[in-house]
Amino acid sequence: MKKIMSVLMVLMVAASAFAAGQQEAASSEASFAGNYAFGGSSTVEPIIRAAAEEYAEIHPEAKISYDAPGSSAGVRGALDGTYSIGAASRALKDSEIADGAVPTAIAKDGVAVVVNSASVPMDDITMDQLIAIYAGEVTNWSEIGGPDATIVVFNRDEASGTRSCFNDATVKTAKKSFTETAAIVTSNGDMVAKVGSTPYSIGYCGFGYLGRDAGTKSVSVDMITPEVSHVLDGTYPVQRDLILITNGAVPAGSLEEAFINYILSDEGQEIVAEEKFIPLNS
Amino acid sequence: MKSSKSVLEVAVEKILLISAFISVISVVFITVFIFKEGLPLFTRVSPLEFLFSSNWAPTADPPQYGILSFIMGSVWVTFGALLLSVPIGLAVGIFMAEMAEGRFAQILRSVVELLAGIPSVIYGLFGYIAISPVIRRLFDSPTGLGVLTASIVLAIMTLPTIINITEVSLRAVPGELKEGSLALGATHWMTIYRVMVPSARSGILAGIVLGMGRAIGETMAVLMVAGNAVTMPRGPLSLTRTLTMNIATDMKYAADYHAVSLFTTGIVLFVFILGINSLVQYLMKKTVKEEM
Amino acid sequence: MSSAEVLNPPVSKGRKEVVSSPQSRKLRMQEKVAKGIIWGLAALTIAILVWIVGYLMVKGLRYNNMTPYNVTPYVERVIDLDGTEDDLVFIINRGVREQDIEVDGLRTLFNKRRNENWGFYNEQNLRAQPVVNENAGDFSVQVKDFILAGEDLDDYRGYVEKASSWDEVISYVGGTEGAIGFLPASEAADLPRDVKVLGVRRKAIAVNPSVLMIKDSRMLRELTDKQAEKIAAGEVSNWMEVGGTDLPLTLLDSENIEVNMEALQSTEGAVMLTDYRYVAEYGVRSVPVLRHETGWNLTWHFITEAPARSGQWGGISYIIINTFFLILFTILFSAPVGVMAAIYMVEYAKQGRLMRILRMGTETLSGIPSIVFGLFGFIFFVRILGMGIGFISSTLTVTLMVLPTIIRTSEEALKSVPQSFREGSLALGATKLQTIIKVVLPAASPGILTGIILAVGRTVGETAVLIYTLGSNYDLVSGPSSSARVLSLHLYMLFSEALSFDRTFATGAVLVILILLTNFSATFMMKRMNKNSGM
Repeated sequence: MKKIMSVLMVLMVAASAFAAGQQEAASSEASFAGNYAFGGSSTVEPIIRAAAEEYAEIHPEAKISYDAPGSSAGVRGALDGTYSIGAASRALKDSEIADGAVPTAIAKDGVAVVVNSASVPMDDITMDQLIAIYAGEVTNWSEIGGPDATIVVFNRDEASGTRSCFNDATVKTAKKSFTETAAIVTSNGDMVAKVGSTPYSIGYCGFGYLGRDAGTKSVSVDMITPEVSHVLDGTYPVQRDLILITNGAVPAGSLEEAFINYILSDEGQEIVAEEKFIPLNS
Repeated sequence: MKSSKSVLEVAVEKILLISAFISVISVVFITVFIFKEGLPLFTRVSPLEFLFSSNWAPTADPPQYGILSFIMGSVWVTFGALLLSVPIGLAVGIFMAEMAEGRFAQILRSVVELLAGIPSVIYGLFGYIAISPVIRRLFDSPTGLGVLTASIVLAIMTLPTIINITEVSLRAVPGELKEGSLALGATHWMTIYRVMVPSARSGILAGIVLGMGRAIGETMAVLMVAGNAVTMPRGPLSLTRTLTMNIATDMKYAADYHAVSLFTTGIVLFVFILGINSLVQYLMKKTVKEEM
Repeated sequence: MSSAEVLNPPVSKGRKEVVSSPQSRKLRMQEKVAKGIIWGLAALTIAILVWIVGYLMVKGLRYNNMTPYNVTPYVERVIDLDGTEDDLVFIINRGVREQDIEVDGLRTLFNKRRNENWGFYNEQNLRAQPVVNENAGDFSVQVKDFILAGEDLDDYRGYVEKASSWDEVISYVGGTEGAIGFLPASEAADLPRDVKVLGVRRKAIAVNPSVLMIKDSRMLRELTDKQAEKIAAGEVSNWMEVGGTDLPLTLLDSENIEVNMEALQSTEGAVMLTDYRYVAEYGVRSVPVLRHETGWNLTWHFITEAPARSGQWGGISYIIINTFFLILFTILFSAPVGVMAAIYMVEYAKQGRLMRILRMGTETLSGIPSIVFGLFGFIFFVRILGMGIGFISSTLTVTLMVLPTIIRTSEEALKSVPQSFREGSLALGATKLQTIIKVVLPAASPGILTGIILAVGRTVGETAVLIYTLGSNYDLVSGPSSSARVLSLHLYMLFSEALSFDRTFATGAVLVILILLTNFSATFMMKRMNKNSGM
């Protein structure tokens, strides 16, 4: 028993020593020393992560963490103080603005329609067809000029920002609702992975995830291809702003202000482009 | 001197008592808080509609909260799992109690222990990567996910529970019964089949019900392999969502009554589990009585 | 049903058996078949475990992928650049774990607005630092054209380090982490130990658009490396042979680029093996080529490096440490409470109502599914007690969850201590408390430890509880309210965001190894306990 306890103690000491070593990177000199908790949308996560990692080179003393429970939780977290900056991939609701949430757009994003590339030959789909597929009215590819096979529809979870954006631009415009037989996936990455590995499947994802899985290909909607330029000129039908949310205006001279400014700077917007989102200034 | 010691003894006893009560208190707290968070939903929907409607659209306008398809999903997946795991579990339980000897028995025992110890995410990952392609090819299912895949994964996960309890209950069968049967000329197999299994049946049943509880309560593994469609399961190949998956999928984003509805789903799950637990305890008690 | 009733039928049948030999043969057959099936199912159980663990270990230890690239897998360590006298060699710091790079990546390394990270190429979270020699006349200018091809830049960007001689380039690359530079081949003959040559893949398979068109619902999507080799060697005469449409294949020479590019654009089924930059320059299409990539997945680097980019780069060191912290604190909370509860239940409580309540509490708690614990932890610790999503909330929730395991095993262990131990100690004048601490607990310690080890196993594998109480931040735990990831959670995040299956499997392998370790130590403890109680 004693032996085991001493082994445990040694392990514990070793672990904490290792931990201390790993954390040593954070020296302590400048003004932003401390821990900062950001959180929210999983779509915005790559931008914040990459920006925070870059930012750590400028201000190593500020330790920024990001949690990705989702857009709504991000807004709520920003309002109740859990996060000093929240992130969302959907527009704020009126009630949230009334509670004092202040949005700052940091990037644009489009939602592209993807299909399994090995089994679906089409390269274009009309908006009506898309709506019919997602409303469950068309269930076989042959009904819209494809091979004779059942369409495997993938959808996002009930409260995802991407789903609500897609919903607003497609089935909702026709006053219909999503089919219930769609398989639900919980992230953009999972969406492309599943569509890529499932024959005759269709799904949708943020532009940033196009080309991530070799088994998927994007299809144009009403002949408008999912391209950055089409989002910028407003012709692409499914698009949105990615926003950061603070509770009230950002205090001047705070890390939060500096961080938001960093993302809006040329270098920050370069990160946005690198993560395959659309920079505001392009 | 003596009195001070007894004060210490009394104090220690009280501390120990409090420690012993922590689990009881936790159960009470869990029950109270899950109910407190979940019940307000019934100001919006009637319990009947919640339980017996299969329209689930918590973010629609007006929102609809019907979880029948998830209840059915849990039921399908659980029974599918038991269908596969009960025969195997019983057989292996009998094997361990009556037939296993030497090295092979030792190996089998550690294997069962390990199966019980493997985390559910690992089972889920394995189900997604190794089992779903097989299902896809064998049954021409488009995704390879769904009730059948989830059942297979859960069957493997419930196996150790059923095996262990079957073995324990068979070993608890009084030796005279077995010896008597053998002495009367019955073969070993007949003794097992006609004497031991029937007299251990309450215990075995308890094991099966316990396995059922584990299957209903499992979250991560089914989340990774069941396909997660908000629809009534129609067959072994259809995609499905269970009660646990419903909580795990939506909890991430849910707000307001959507979040409340997830706690209400939790209540349903909780009630299921409590029912199963009392059944297990009843069966166990019966086993003890029968032995006497 | 009483046992006597159960006994009856076999009795009568057993008697008959002796006289009627065909039936007894039948019975023996039945017995054989039944036992055979049972043996088979027992073996199946072992096979299932071996399959699961084996599959995970194989996938977790080694990766084996076919990755499509714009260029063929052909690696040039010395590049013969059109129009330069000397060949070109790229060098990198030895610390960079990169063997070769596609030419597009090379351009990005020198051309981005800020420093590129090696993570994009080899998952090593390391800043890339390019360096060039300013004073090398023609050679440098030509290489610059090569590197900056496709960009409308006159010169390198500001962050590209400038050196003034080839020796300086070599010493800079040798002395700077993540550095990359280039040299004429004549200077690269005798490189120091801390510098290595970086291979470049730049040959693309440029084709006439007709090759990639759909015909008879067939279409060429990609080539394997072997197929690309065969095409380059001129062994293929029709695209059908390599999975394309029925179209004759014409292999063009890449020497006279302008003329041949024209030919490529006008000849159906034409193909040319050429530098990837001409594909972009002339706007022709190229066929992606699959490269067979294989190697160790679970490396020392993976275990010791910190995670970056949502776990896509670096390793899982923080995550392993977080897992140990979670285990440590969970046990710190749950072990004392659980053992004390067990002591009360075995040594103090009398059978009766109280005992029934306690037992029922433990039983019920052990039956509650982890997602319900998760809901409770989320509402009680995170929200109501205001601890927030983080380390302390999750530790407390998991503590409640593993409590029944510890209580039950400790109870068993305490019960197995012979009554004579207690009686002896009491007879010698020790108080009850002294007896428990000095005699009973030490005798029961292996059993208690087994329970603790089982609880460790449960903690390591738990996920559903942690999603909503521990969060998803992959940094090191820095305080009680800091959000973190542990192995199982990390595995699920990698899986659900489909970031990388290789890394998911590697994480899974680490998790399985941990589980195997705890299981074996529990078995070992159990054996020791049995030996002790046997004495």
